[in-house]
Amino acid sequence: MSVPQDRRYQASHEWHKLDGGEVIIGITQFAADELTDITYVSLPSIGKEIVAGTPFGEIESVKATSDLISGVSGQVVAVNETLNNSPELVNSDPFGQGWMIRVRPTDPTQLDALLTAEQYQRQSAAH
Amino acid sequence: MDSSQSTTLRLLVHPPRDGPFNMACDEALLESVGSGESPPTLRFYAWDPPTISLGYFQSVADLQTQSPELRSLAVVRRTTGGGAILHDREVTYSLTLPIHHPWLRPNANRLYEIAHDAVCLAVGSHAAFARDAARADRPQSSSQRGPFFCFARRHALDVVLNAARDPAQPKLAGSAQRRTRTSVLQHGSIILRSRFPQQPCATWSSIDGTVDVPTAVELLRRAFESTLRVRLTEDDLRPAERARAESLRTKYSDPAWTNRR
Repeated sequence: MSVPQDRRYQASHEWHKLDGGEVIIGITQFAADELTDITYVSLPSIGKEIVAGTPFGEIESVKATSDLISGVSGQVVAVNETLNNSPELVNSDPFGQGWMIRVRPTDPTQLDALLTAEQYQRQSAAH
Repeated sequence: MDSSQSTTLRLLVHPPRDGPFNMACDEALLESVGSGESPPTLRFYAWDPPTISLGYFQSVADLQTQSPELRSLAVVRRTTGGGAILHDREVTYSLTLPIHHPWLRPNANRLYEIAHDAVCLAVGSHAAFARDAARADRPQSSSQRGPFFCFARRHALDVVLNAARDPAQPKLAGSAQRRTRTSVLQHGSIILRSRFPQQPCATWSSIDGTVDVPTAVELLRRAFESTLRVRLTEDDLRPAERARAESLRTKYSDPAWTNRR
């Protein structure tokens, strides 16, 4: 399983991509495959302050609910509204069209504490 | 099935309780199993008074479209997905495992198959997975879409009566999960007898006359032991689990939680 090198990861399978001083967050292909058919994604409102290590949203798949955990603190500046009607995009293109939120980070160096692509791949392979 | 890491499994058998306690107890187990303080746990329980549990993402407004009789019943919101269930004369199981447990491989959906294999075994040769049924509905598993009641929805991993038993193949059992970073809770209901025809479902009593909870629990207990290849060891809630369940009960009793969507 390969993952994009241009972003950082959490053990809970969220990816974080720095883009123009903001951070785009989604979940990995590994997580999407584990969840199987995603049927609903609940995301925060624009303007909401989120805190690293805590849930920023929730996801439903095959009658299962799971938290979405942010690796950075900051303010939500954009939300992928397309997922309201097309949650399956998280399954089909988790690193692209299946992105979830864009955050203006309070402290961009929090990204440095997250897993690199190599570290994430090793960790996922271990399970 | 790889059960090498679990030759015994902790069993809790609880008398009928109200919705807030039942949901609080399952969440307390999710936490304690996730933290490693408690071992994997299978729990059987029942409900008193009759209670409608809403799926986590369901809108409470959907309940307002139901009959006055149903709207007068107690209501609780689950942390798990799927549709509403009217819990009355039924047995509910919950199975809580740490996230890296072998029964969750290759993914957590495997646990639906395992538990529903046990349900099929418990009721004899009268039930089958919906995916194997002649009537194959499109999966409806989102809390946001599909019929109000879980038992009116159909997912490939649900248990339905086989066609020889009932050509309509009504649903006998469905389950739902809450997944955290450290553990997975799965619970599901098997209706023994229906006093509320508004909830379209198969009943265990219609198959072989099983109507009482103790008999159903004993049959399920043996079926889970056989399917999981474990020996169930009966236990009680530990003081910390009981205290946490009582604390969480406040959340599940709070209208703000029930009406949050």
